[in-house]
Amino acid sequence: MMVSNIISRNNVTLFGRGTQPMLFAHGFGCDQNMWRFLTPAFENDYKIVLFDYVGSGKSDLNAYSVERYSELNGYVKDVLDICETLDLTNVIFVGHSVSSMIGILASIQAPHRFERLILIAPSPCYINDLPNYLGGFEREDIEELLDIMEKNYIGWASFFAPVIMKNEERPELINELETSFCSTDPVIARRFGEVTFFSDNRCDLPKVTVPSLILQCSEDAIAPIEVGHYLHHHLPESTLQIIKATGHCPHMSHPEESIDCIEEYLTAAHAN
Amino acid sequence: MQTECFKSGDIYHLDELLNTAPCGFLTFTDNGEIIVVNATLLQLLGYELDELRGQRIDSILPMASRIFYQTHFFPLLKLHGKVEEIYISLRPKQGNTLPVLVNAVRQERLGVFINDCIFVLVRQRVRYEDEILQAKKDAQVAILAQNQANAALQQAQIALESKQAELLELNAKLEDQVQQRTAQLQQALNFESLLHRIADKVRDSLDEEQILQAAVQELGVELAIEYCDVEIYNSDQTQPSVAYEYNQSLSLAPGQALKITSVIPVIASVPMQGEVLQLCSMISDGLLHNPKQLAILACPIYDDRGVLGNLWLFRQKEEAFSNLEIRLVQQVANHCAIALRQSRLYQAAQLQVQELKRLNQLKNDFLNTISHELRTPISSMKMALQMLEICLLPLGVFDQETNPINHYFQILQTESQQELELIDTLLELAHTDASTAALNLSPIHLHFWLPHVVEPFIQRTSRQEQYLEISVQEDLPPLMTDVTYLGRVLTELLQNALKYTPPGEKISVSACLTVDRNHSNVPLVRIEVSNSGVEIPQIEHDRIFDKFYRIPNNDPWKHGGTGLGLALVKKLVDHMSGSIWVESSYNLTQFILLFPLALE
Repeated sequence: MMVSNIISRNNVTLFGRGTQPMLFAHGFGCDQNMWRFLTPAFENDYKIVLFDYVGSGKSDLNAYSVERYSELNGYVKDVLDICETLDLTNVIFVGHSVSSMIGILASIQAPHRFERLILIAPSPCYINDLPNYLGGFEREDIEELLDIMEKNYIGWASFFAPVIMKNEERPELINELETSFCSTDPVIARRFGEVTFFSDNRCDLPKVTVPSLILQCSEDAIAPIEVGHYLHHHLPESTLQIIKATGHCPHMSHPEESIDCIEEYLTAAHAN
Repeated sequence: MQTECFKSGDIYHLDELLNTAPCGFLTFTDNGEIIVVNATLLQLLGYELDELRGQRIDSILPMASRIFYQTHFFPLLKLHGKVEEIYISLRPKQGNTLPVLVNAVRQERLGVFINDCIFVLVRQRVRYEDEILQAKKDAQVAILAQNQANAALQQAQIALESKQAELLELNAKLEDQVQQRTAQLQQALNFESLLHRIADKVRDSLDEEQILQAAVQELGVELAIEYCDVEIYNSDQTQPSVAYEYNQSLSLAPGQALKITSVIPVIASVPMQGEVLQLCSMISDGLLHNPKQLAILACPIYDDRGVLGNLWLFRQKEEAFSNLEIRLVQQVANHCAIALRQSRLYQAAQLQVQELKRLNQLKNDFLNTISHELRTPISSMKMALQMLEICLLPLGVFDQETNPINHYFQILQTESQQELELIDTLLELAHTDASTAALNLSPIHLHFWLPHVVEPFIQRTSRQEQYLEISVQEDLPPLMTDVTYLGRVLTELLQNALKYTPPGEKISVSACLTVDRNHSNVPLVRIEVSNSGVEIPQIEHDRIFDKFYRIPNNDPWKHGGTGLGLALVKKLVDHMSGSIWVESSYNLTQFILLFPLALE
């Protein structure tokens, strides 16, 4: 695919005054805007690369194909396409939630591109596999989540979007709608939800060779602390950092602490 | 708004109103810690204020809502400062989850960001939405099915169209092929009938000129030839000359073939080697009114004994000779070769026939002369003897056995008689040997004819005390044969039998019908002449038919003989298409004759 095609397909944004690339990958339910509390801290020292997965944010919806994005590997290809197009090496990959796993898989396929993986609230498997593994959820919980998503799209996207889109006198409404949810296509969002929450990548963990930092919130409603320990145990060359922040989005709810942890980790890494 | 409220009545406090407003109200920090809950929401969830204050908002959310809160609700609220009309579920202290719509706003108070939310219960609306969703899903399934059906239909149509196009193409190809094939067949048929006509000519005629002229004519017309000829080699196969031609445009007189070979000397020798040659050459002045390039086909006329001549065909150079045409020309050349060879053989045969006729005449003349020259003196001598006998009879010289005149006279008479017989038989044999004359066939009824043949011998047999009998199969059909020859054969055999049969023994002649088992049961007549009292040794069985052969020491009646009798018999039987052999055993000797009942 042509360079410009990848750039526009994934709505890639480049800024920062450094040379080493820092690639931020958003999680399920959001887009690259979620990183805006974090990036100011790194733009002086790194080349910041932001993007939206195909089907999210301002990506090219026409590039979405059910076959490609019916497994995490489709999203892994998005990451590797971008790395290849921009010829990125020594990448510090920062992934939130499901993007942690996408980064892990990408580093297995192209280890030469990555220097460090920063994994924010990661989980290799969200579904419980008792008694050996506690993922935090049962299958029904995820079905219910998909139901909630569907109902919210009724109100926001499916019914009103076409009407509003045609209303050229009030373009601000379109903007508001676009920013209200990170994906405006309910079918794509549902498929991303299924891929995210039904994936099980536990067996891939030992294949990772790139060193990683696991940022585990002390109280995470989605990734329980046991998951953090599990990851640390199975990921070679991983560092586990349990932060005081609660919830699943420390980079949004507690950006300062998140930044401190990342900077500390990177400083130590570069010192070695 | 707030000021207006206070104006209208001091007794209404907004806090109090908010506490019991018909919607839930809740405030939480970015940490997710619940700070404020109004009474309506507490009542809805079944909690006391103290139970919720300071707790995390997760505690009133079921699992799915927690995820949604983390992945959508909080990021949106944080990014945009507000969310509206978000649908989630709340988890009360007891009982089923409560579907609610949430509006939230994020604002700074006393230096800290807090998030205010109102919750509206939407039980009925959710049911309605479920219905709509289900209807939508059903519709989507239906649309999907229809789209798939349409796609399948479209694909089928495309496939059909391409198949139709293929079919049309195939049909066109087939039609072309059929036309080509028909044309080829028609050509092959034309060629075939041309060959038939020439073959018929070759079969019906021995006239070389007529056949070859027909061949060039037929080829010229059938193959649309400008010029076509047959050239025939002279006897030493060096100099061909044009014998027969078909001419559309060239002017070429017989004998002008040399000019062709001089124009194209390279190819002149090639047909001699028995190969067909096709070439294109410029025919120069003198052969053509207007010089032009022609396709030329040269085909040798040859058989196993060598090359007889060549077939030359000249045609417009654009129309090279096809394989089929070349084969036709080759076949015509083969027929020409047969015609030439046949005609030459016929001429040679005619010459031979004339020569044979001449030789035959010579031989007949010779035989007549010999017969005259040999017989005349003997006949004169016999006549003289008879005259002498008449003269001597009155002198009584024959009355006395001991009279030497009688003795010498008897010797003269016997020897001259034998000499005459010998000459007669020899002449007859020579005549039969040389004879090419046809048999004089007639049907013979052996019942009647055999006694007639036997009759002259009856007296002699009774004198020699021999028994003679005849037996003929009653229903024997008439035998078709030459009566003179058969009479001669039987007489000779009977004379033989009389000669060698001792007194008291039997001579028999019989005839019956049989079949030739070796040749599809052709009906045969078997005639036997047999006698008892004597045997011929096995070793003599074949020799007795040789000329001048006589069985040593076996002549009881001292008849003497020429030794030519059985040789003549064998020759005559062969001439009559019969067969003869001898069987001899148990004191019985049989001469067996077989003749076809009906000669062709």
